[in-house]
Amino acid sequence: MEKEIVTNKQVINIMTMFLIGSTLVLGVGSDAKQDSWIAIIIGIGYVIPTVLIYSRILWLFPGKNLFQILERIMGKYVGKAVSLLFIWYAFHLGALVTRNFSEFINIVALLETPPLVPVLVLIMLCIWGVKEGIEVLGRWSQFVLPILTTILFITVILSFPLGDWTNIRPIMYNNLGPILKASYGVFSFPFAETVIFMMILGGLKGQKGYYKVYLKSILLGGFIVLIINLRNIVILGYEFIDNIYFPSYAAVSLINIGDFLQRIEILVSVVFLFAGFIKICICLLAVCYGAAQVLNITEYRILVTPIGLMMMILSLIIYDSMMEMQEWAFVYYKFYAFPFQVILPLIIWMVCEIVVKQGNKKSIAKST
Amino acid sequence: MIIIVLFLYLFVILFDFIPIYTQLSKKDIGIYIVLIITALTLSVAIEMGIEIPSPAKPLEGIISFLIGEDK
Amino acid sequence: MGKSNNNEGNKLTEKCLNKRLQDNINLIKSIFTKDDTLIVREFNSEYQGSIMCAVIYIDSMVNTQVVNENIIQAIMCTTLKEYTINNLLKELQNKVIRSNEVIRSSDMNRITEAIIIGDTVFLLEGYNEALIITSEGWQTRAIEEPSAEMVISGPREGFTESIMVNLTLIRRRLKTPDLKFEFKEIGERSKTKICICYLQELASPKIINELFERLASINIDGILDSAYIEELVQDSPYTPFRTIGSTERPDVVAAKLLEGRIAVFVDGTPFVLTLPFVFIEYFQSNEDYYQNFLMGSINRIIRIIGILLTISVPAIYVSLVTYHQEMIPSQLLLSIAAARKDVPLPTIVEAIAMLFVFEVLRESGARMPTSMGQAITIVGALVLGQAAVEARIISAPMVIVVALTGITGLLIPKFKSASIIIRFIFLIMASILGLYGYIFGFMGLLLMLFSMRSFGVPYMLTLNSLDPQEVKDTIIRAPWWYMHYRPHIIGAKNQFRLKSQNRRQNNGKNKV
Repeated sequence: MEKEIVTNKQVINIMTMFLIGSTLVLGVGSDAKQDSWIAIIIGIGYVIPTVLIYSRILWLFPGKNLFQILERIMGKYVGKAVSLLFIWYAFHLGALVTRNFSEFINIVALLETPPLVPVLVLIMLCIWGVKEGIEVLGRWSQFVLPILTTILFITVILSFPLGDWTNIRPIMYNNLGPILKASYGVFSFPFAETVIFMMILGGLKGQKGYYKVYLKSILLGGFIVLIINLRNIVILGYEFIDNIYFPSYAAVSLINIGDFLQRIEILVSVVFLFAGFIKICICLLAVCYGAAQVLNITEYRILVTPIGLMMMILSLIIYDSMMEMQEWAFVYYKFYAFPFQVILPLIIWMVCEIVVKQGNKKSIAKST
Repeated sequence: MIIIVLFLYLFVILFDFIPIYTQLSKKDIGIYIVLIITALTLSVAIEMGIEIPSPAKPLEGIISFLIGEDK
Repeated sequence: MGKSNNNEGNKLTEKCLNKRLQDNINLIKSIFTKDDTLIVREFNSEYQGSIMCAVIYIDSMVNTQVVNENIIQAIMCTTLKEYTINNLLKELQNKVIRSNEVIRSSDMNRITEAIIIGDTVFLLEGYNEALIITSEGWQTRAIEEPSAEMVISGPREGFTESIMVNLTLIRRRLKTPDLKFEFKEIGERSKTKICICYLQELASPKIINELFERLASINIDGILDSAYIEELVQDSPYTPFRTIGSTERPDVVAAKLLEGRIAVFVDGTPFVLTLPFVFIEYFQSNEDYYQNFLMGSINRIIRIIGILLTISVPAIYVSLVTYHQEMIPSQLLLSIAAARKDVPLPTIVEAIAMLFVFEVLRESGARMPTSMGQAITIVGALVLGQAAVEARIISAPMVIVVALTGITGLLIPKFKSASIIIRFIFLIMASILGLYGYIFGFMGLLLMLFSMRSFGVPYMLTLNSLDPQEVKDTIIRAPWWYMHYRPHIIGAKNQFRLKSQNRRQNNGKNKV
């Protein structure tokens, strides 16, 4: 695989957009009702040590991405088997995000158009983006993220007159229980999904450690999610958030300045689409890197189109309706993702530490 | 509708595969063809209305079994 | 094609000059059969008892004054004090013929080429060598302001078709020996002379080498314009965006050379290529620097917004009216609905039809003789605009939209071809998926722009980040005392523009 050059800043941008991606569409932490913002903060707290583990794994084997590390520490066949698990996770995630967006576009705007059409266009764009490579995606994100943050900032400011701060109260009415439950949900969606970045980052040239990158992105992405969530609660109140599919969209649609600046939720759709595009691209990229590694192909680019098309097919068949999708996202996903986000990385980390220590011992023994 | 799907795959092969056909090794071409044919079959199946079971259901079953039904 | 050239070449080299004057003259005449512009002037010289000699040249390619006075008169009238029969030609070359460049040669290829370029060939009885004397003097256009790139305040010189004149225009602006000119000849039959020009301390050697490699691989019959070379040499030939800039103004070329770019002059065309070319250069104009920096910045921002408008407006209008009516303020919505009431065509068809008509008008107006100009204006304005609206074929808002698109499109002439294609793609996407189609189109556009490179330099060079250093010369034009650095990568060899950081503030406190 050709070593591509991505700067730290670009990776931070990509990761932040990845985190914002489907979070803004679906909303997080709604189990905690009006305390979801506290849940988000706690969730970020959970994720920081996890992310340090991810960076540590990458640091122990510089220049290798997760798949190469797995083959290295677990041997060829076990490594490939575990790689397949991760490939499936990324593949599934990509299909989920695509389905999220197809439902979003369908329900919110284009009721008459068969959802296949926007999904097809989106997937085609993602295939093109992944083929161009992560370098182009990095530069793209570097340009787009400031624009997105500006748009989000504007929507927050414009919604001040609508805000009803009493909606946050009563704070912690139900005590800590639901908050902790919700915070675990926040952990697994979206923050710990950055495990996917382990699959693509290691192979890039010129990076020494990913700690700063991971941390900065988590903090920046987390901050944005927090602000938006707060805005949604303040404007809508928790009863509505429970009942609406897309709380951010609903919140912005209430903005009405002087009867002229109204129904500007299309701006929010812009943010969703751009960030979602990156998220799907990263998932697709991870799958292609993994498949190339497992099948011993040097150039991942040939695999992009068929895998992309299959991801699209999966997204079409995976659910029958929007409700199913919501149920999955808020109920089952955190359990399903736990092995991929926590258990497997922990095991891998420990094996890595052992292997590296043994390697050091060997080289010390050799030299003496 | 099936025609559209077939056209789509024709386009894909035309623009994606043919330009780099000569530069690929046999193995690459083989893998590519296998994957494309899988995708093609599944797409045609969807268009024709054949229901393909979603992997989400079994996963949900496993998870609720492991966690207990109180969710 | 290559083979027959070789045969001709072989034929030429097989023939050579011998010592008899008449044979030589006949030989040259046989090469130029059916070419009545060839002039052969035989005359006597003073030496050896009126030995015969001849001058051969092509009519009106030579400066006849040079031929008459410096060659014929010189030979007829000057007396050499001592000479020998054997080196009479050499003596003539060194002591008699007054010309700035005289070469002795017996190579038939060279001699033929020399005659074609406009040099004079001098033959002497008893010698199998000829003298090639520089005497070019053909007509060229006078230096005038280029009609395609006018400025309000600034120099009014423009390049002409003669490459040597163009080179002098640059030399006068950059009076440093660091300015290098390298000549090459391209084109099998046109043998066009091109010149690659750069400032050695500033230009990147990698880019120069890349350029030479690409030029060496060109194999074409004739180069008639710099655009031929541009197309054969540029990166990403299939995108609508240019990766090599072209300009008719020497001050623009000099400014770009000072930033570390390379210029390519082509004989026979006033358009000079500059490379590498990055996206932001579309929006920069030399006039930004000849005016107040505030004015320059405002103009740049207007250009950027204008281009955004010209590619987006038709798409957004169609998508709003067709899919997202709720986004239009209610008053406006009512007027649009009223205007569209009896129009039979769906909005997208209207849009495409009007845009097509606009492009037809523009294209036909581009090369039309001025006598017909008025007719087109009348047809365009009255018939298509007014009458079509009144006949309810087109709705009035659509005419406004197309007019806005057209006007903003004229802001940057270089961008026109790209904007037509992009506008059309956005329009189609918007008609299928509404505003989401437009967003998808925009994503794709950004993806394409960010993946392009121009001679190794990323196309969206300075637009990646909001680095204040980069903004100074892109979106705005900061005053000179803030612009310390040359652009990234292109000017990387010598990053610093200015030595002095401060500009003395004259607040009017120093009163006399």
